[in-house]
Formats: sequence, structure tokens, C-alpha cells
Amino acid sequence: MGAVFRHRCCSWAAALALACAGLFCTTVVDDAAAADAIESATLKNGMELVVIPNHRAPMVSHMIWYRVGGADDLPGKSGLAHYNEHMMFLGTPALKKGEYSRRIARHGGNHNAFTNKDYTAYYANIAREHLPMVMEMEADRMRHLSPPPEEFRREREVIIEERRMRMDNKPESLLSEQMDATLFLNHPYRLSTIGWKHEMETLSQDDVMAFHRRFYHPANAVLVVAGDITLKELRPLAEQYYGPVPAGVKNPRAWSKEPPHRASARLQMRHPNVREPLLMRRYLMSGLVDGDTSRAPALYVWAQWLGGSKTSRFYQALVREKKLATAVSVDYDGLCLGPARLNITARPAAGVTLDTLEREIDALLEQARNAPPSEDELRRAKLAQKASIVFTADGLQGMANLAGEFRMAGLPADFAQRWPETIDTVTAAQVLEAGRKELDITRSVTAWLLPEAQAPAAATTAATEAEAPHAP
Amino acid sequence: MRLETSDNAAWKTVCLGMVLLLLLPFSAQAFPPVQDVTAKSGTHAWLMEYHDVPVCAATVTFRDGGSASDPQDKQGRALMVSRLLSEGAGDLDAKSFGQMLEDHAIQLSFEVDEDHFSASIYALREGCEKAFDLLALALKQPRFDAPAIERARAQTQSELVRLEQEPAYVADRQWRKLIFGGHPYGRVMRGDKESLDRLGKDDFTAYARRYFTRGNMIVAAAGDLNAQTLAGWMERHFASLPERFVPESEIAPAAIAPHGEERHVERDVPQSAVVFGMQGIPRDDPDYYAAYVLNHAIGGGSLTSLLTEELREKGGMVYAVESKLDPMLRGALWRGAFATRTDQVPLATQKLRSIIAHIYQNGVAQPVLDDAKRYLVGSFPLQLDNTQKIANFLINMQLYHLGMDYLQKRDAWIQAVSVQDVRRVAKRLLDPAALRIVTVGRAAAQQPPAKPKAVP
Repeated sequence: MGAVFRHRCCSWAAALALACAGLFCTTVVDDAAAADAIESATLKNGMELVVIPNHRAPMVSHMIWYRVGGADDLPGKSGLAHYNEHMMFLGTPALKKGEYSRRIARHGGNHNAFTNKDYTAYYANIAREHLPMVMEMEADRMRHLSPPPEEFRREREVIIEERRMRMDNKPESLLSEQMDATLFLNHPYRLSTIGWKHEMETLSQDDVMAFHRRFYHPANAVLVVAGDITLKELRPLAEQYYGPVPAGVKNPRAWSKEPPHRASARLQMRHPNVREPLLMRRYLMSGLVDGDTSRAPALYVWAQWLGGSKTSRFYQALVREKKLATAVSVDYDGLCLGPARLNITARPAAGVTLDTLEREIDALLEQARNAPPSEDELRRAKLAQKASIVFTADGLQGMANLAGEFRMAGLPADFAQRWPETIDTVTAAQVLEAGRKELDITRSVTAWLLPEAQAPAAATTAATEAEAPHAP
Repeated sequence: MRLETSDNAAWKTVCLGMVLLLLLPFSAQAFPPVQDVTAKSGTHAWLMEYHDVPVCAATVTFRDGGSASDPQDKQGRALMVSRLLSEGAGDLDAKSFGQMLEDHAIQLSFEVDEDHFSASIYALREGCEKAFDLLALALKQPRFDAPAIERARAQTQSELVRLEQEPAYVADRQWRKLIFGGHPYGRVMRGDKESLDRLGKDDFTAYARRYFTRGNMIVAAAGDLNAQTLAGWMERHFASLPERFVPESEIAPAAIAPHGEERHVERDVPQSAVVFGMQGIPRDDPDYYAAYVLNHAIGGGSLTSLLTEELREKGGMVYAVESKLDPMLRGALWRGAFATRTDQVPLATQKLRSIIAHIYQNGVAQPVLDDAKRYLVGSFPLQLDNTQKIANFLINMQLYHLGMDYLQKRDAWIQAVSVQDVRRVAKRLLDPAALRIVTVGRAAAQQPPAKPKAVP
């Protein structure tokens, strides 16, 4: 899962780290769950409210989450949800273009927005006294978005530039995009959230406004506010600013489902700007929402054990012991509405072929099918998961971000607080079993990223690095 | 409608089932006091205590241990050390050391910039003591085992190869070489393949012995620990570090020639990277705050800067453009960057030049200045909203001698910046003739600005 951001302050990696590393980690003591009790409520028009008190500073993080993302893009109109996100900053009758940003900045706030496959979120971190101003503007643009035509044209250029920056200039990202398009046979997760360029170029004002009218409603939104506030204080403000907005409907999300997979997929991409090969493999798996959800906790521990740190199985074997790779990671993203994904990424050491690296990875996966983690390994993996929630609570926006993601997935806002016990009950046998049952090569795509003009079997890292020919 | 503040004292339950502690809330202008903690051996640390989240963060910075201190033929030395310190210390090899960190959920990291070397820990409260133990062990008894060195070397060399394909990196590297010439600041922090091949255990051991001393050490901590505990840990671990710091060589201040230039590096990429800038202003210059506010107005991080307005909001040419002051010890910079479609590079750089020229002549208007100041003052608490940020900020306060009361004084200095101050500083810093610009992309594709194609 990666989110596309309106502004360069946030990257794929950061979003992924926020989403994955911060998830499902428990405080080491249950009392922490009671300390910052999350409060929830729902307005008459269906808008959910979630409040996370944090009184370190008189600041708040106001996050509004809409149940619409890249996977909701219409056929032939990929990039629409993300484009809509951009356009939200560009004008209502009350707020002319740029006024939203200027007001937030003038009042000492930071703000941005991001879109991923499942949701679009808008946040403002600001002194609590300015919360009404933020809410007034959010309610206004939810309901009255109407930028002038020239802004649609210009901002379309901006998102195409963003695509160039995030994708076209990065062979690894281009390949990752192709992997999702291959791995998902039928599910809209195959779509590129930023959009395919040829479709982005044709997105029109009418497209965006129809999309906006369909999805941007209180019944389809969750407001999460963290910081120096309580539900008792927030509720009247929410009633005042969001209450009058007509309810609309919740996104029914009638997504096409995946059929059975019968064949493992392979991709090979050559690119002139690649100097060293890269191996990526992505599996579909059960997650917290999709498939056999009871396995998800064990899968988090499983992924952490196998490749979540430098003491993990994969890193130890591939990088330290056998010197076949300079880097390797295993990441599991279970928090999404559709099928969850497991990513394995490995960079071969000099002189090592992708074929050799892949075989070694398969051998390690086979080993993991046959023997569970040791007691120490299990303890470490679980502790890493648990600790990261405490770290997430250190800071203004972290817990708001988690709560929003949980609600977008249809899970309780305080899921993080309940997770400790679940992780604690995960056993080595469960970890073993989850890996065995879920890892299925026919539900995967393996991708090789290669320099140009080399036969795949002989693909190696460049033994010597010639001076870039045109560098002055 | 203004929110009514509730009762001033907020009681919070602290984790680990301990007694309720009083957390004193503070206004946007007030922070908990900065404590100057002194260990028996004389080492100082600045501490900001919080008890709302059971974590601690600490940073130890060694002045002058940065990449500028790398010998000419051994570039990448400091960076390599930063990668090797967690790969084994004392009796613990890389694996055991890593396992011990993970046994306590400790994050231990090392960073290098041009000037300094820093070591940071971030841990749950119950792991803080162990975190200090392991940090100290890494600094005082690094193993620099041969396999770890080989791994770090291979990883860094591989990174260099990859980075050379990234236009933004190439533009930055080239720009620094342009502005600093032969000065150490003009070098690449990671070195190059050859210099990395030349580095060995002796280099790293000698580096550690020379640069990890009490004489050049700055310490800061934040979070759930108190002064007495911190003093005890500092005494236990840092008292045995060498007392004196002896610099390896004298690094001269960089002499930045005041002429502008533009360079192009050819790369076949769909989007070009552009880096621009010129000489900046030292941190202790009386006009620093005026320059800081001016920079924010021009290209500070918010979506409302003058450059964003021109290049993104009006032109649709870039996704992001930013500028920053970088007051390095021996050569302060003002530097910015953006990326744009290759055929738009000439128009974008033309717009950049004209904005700089305009500000050089006229400064910025009062409303623009007021907005910048309001942002910088209002958003300040967001710079300090988590424990790691606080610890690092306390390091900077010490590095630049800002004073223990800086957090209380800083807003007033920002507020005091006037339109005249900014005009003066613009005249001093932003001569367009001194602008250095590096573009990376396809030269052949650059054309004079064309009309945008018709859109449906």
C-alpha cells in the first residue's frame, strides 16, 4: 500500500512506514489502553467522529477521511480519486483557489492530503483555537467544491508532473505499478492510484465533479481529531459545521472480486536507468478485513520474523551469512479492504544473479514452512509489533492516522488498543501455520528489474562502475 | 467561536500502572523547562522531561566528525563508521548486538552530515537504560569486524550506483561541487567506489578514537527520564571517553566566489531536476532571523510560498519546489530544488530568476512577510511534537549557542523582523548574478517555452 500525496512532504516509503510499522503494536502494559481512551460518536447525517485526547500541547490534528480511493476510479479514468484530492484545494465560492492553504499557513498550521487505493484523507495540524476555522473550510469544500475550468487544466499538469516524479523517473516504482496490474486479475487494486498517464491526460472537469458529488458526503466520511480536545468539546463544533451538510450515502464498494488464481506470474523489465538488478515478489494473502482474517495477527509476526529487521531470517541468511544480497526486506500490509499483500524485496550482491537470489529465497520460505520461529525470535517479533504503537502515540498525528485507517477498513477506531492481547496470544505454531496456509506461489507475481541489453540468466550487478558518460 | 479551555491541570494516567502524575499543560509559547544536567565528570546534557508517553530519546553529537573531515583520499570514512557502529560492539557480533537491541525494542541510529556525527537512541522507558548501555558500547568498543566492513562497503557502493541514476541526487552533487569547488563541502558524503575500497579497519578505529571524545560532545535527551537518572547514565558511560578533542586538521572556511553560473548534466530521464542557490548566512549573524523569514516566504515548506505560487499554482510546471537555509559551520548556503518536465526547464528557470531578481530589488511586501511570520510562530510547536524531534532540537540549540531560553525567546525574534530588515537581507543575499543553477536531464529536449497544447 502506498499513498499518493498532494505535496512532496510525504513519500511512498513514509506512508508505508506509517501504515505498517505503526500497526498492531501493543503497549507493553494494558493500562496504556485506558490512559488515552478514544471516544466515538456519529452525527445525524452519518458522519463519524473519533476523538483521541493528547494534551501535550494546545494543538490538534484534524483529519477527515473519505471512503473513496484509487480502487474506486471509474474504468478508463484511473487517477480520478487522486485528481479529486488535488482539486479540493482549488476553489469554492467562499474559498477561492489557494485560500484554504493560505489560511491554514497564516494560522501556523501544517496541512496536506493523501490518496491510496482505499481512501482519501485531508489533515491539518494546528493550534486548537483554530479548529473551528478548519472545520468550516472542510465542510465548505466537501459540499461546495467548484474550481474554475482553468484550474482543472493546470492541476492536471501538476499531477502528471507528480507521476513523472514518483513513477517515470523511478524504474523500481514503474515495475511495482506493473506488479499490481498483473497480480490482481479482476480486483480494482490492479489500478494505479496516481493513474496511467494516457488516462490522466483525458480526465475532465466533469469527471472530477461527478466523482466528487458521488463520494464526498458526511455519511461517507470519518472525522478523526487528536490532540488537546475531548469529544464533549468537539461534538458541538462538528454539529455546527458538518451537521448541516446533507447526508449522502456511504460508498457501497461493489468491487469486483478476485477469481481463483491458477498460475504464478512473472515479470521482467529492462530499463536504461537501471545499473543493478532488483528482485521483487508480491503475494496475495488474507488480511485484517479480507480472506481468513483470523490469520492476520500471526502473519504480521511471521513477516517481522522473516524479514522485518537485520536479525531476521532473510537478512541474516542472505546478507550476512551467504552474502547473496546487500539488502532484503519482507513487508506485510494487512490493513486494507481488498486482498492483503506481502512484499519481498532483495538486492543482489555483486556478481550474484537474480536466479540464484530467487532460489535462495524460495529455500528460506520452504524452511519457514517446516520449522516455526524459536522462542527468542517469536518474542522479538512480537515486541517489535507492540512497541511501535507506543512510538506512534508519541506525536500529534500518529494515533489519529491509525484510527482513521482502521475506520476506513471497517475496523473499530480503538483497534490499536485491543491489539496487544491478540498479538500476545500468537503462538509459534500459529505463525508457522499462517505462513504455510497463506503463502501460495500461484497467488503471486515475481518481478525482475534489469539493466538493458543483458540476458536474464547472466544478469549481474555491474562489476565496475564506469563514469557516467555525460557527466561534466 | 473560541473553545473554552477546561480546568488548567490535566491529570493523566501513566502507563505501567504507576501513580497519576500531574501534567502541566502549557500555552503555545511555553514548553517544559530545559534542564542542564551535569554529570560528575563535567559532561553536560540538556533535557526536557515528559511523562505522558513512556518513551525516551537521546542524541549525542560529535562536533567536526562530519564528512568534511574525511581525508582527501578516504572520502566516505565518516559515513562508513555510521553504518558500522551497530554492526557489533564489545563482545557482541553484528547479530548478537542486533538481537540485544530488538530484545528491548531499542532504535539505535547514526547519522552524518558535512559537519558532525550523531548517534541517537529511541526506546520505551523500560529500555532506556539498556539503550544508553548499547549506545556507549558502540561508541567506545566498536568491533569493525571484516565481514561487517565488507557488507557496508558493498551496500554503500551499490547505493552510489543507484543514486547516480536519480536526477535529484546528481543535480545536488553537481551543485555542491560547483559552489564549493575543491573545499571538503564540495565532496560526496559517500565517497566513491575507489575511496570506499581504500578504507579499512584502521581508518575506522582511528576515527572513533579521535572523534568520540568529551571535548567535542553535545548531549540532549527528552521524554520519560529525569535529570538524576540521566546524570548517572552519563557518568557511567561517558566519563571514560577521552577528555580532549584534537582536530585532525584545520578545515578552512569555504570561499564562495560571488559569481553565478549554470551547468547542465545530461541524463536521459522523463523529468529534469534543478538545484539552485547561493551563499547563505551564518547562524549567529544578527540578520539570520530576517533571512529565515525571507526564505520561508520564498520557498519554505508550506504550499503558499512565492516559488510554489509561480511555478506550481500559476504555471502547473512543478509538483513541488522548496528552498532552505543551510548554515553549515564553514560555509552557509541558501539552496532550493524542483523537478519539472524537461522541455519546461528553460521557462521554469527563467521564472525562478525573475522572482529572485524582483525580491533582490524590492524585498517582499508586508502582507507576505506577515503571513510568513504568522506561520513560523504558529507552527513552532509542530516542530517539537514528538520526543525525537525535541531531543534533536536541543542538540541544535547547543550547537548554535542559542541559549537555554531559546524556546521562550525565539518567537519574539521572528516577530521582530521588519520589511526593512528583509529588504536589507535580500540585497545582501539574493543578487541574481550570484545564482548558481544545475539542471539534470535531456538538453536536446529543452526548448524555448512552447504554448501548452490544446486540452479537451
